[in-house]
Amino acid sequence: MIIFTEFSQRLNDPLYVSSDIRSKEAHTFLQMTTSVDLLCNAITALTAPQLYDVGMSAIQEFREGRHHSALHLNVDYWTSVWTGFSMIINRITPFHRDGGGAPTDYDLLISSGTHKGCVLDIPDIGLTVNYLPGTAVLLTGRILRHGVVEWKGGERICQARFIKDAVHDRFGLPRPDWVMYDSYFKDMGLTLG
Amino acid sequence: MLNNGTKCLRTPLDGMMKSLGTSTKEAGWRSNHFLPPPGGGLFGAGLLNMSPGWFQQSHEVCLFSFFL
Repeated sequence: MIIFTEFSQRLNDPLYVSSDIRSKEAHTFLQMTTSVDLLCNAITALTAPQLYDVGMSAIQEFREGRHHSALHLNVDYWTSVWTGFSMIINRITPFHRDGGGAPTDYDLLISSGTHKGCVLDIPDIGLTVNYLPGTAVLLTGRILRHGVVEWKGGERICQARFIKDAVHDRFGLPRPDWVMYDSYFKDMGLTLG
Repeated sequence: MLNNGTKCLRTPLDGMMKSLGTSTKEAGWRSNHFLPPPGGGLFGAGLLNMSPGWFQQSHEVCLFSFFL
């Protein structure tokens, strides 16, 4: 029997480990890419420190499993401060916004693969950035429309790391404040000219 | 590192693409617009969502219910 149901996300609903992370291939992937997680965590700590702090708290909550319907062994290999990621392979990305995060949450987009030409367009602010393998882009994906209309010369991988606001709500974690220039200068003991 | 890791995901990616071909449910834009290279290339094509904890996604419920 197939049942299609509209789901709402209520704070008292349990969390589920996504089906795509339960495979043995995902287990291998998580082990092989731990260094990418750590690099992404470091980028997050430098650029969005409050998001990093709540993300670290979320890792602990995931592992304890108090909010889960059932845990899975692969959760022990989750080292990222992000709620999840999408692995998007050889696909163009129509312009869109991502609805799962809070307005102040960033998405972290990692470009990989073998392609030789590609740009990420963020038309709301008139920005076009090079999007070759090895590029990391942080953007407030709920607010800013973004997309990739084509790439050239190889294969394209995008790892899109995201925060699910409802999951952080479930954990009782606060939303991060807006990232401000001032906070960087304050942390360094400097003042804006 | 990410390239090598992605090669390990080829089986579930291929499975995802096959399921698109057999699904009777209209796929959203996130499950479209793939451009796999001829012969599949190094990485194939597809979309996988990995999270250690999120609220039930409707497509996962459909798969689960199928086996009831």
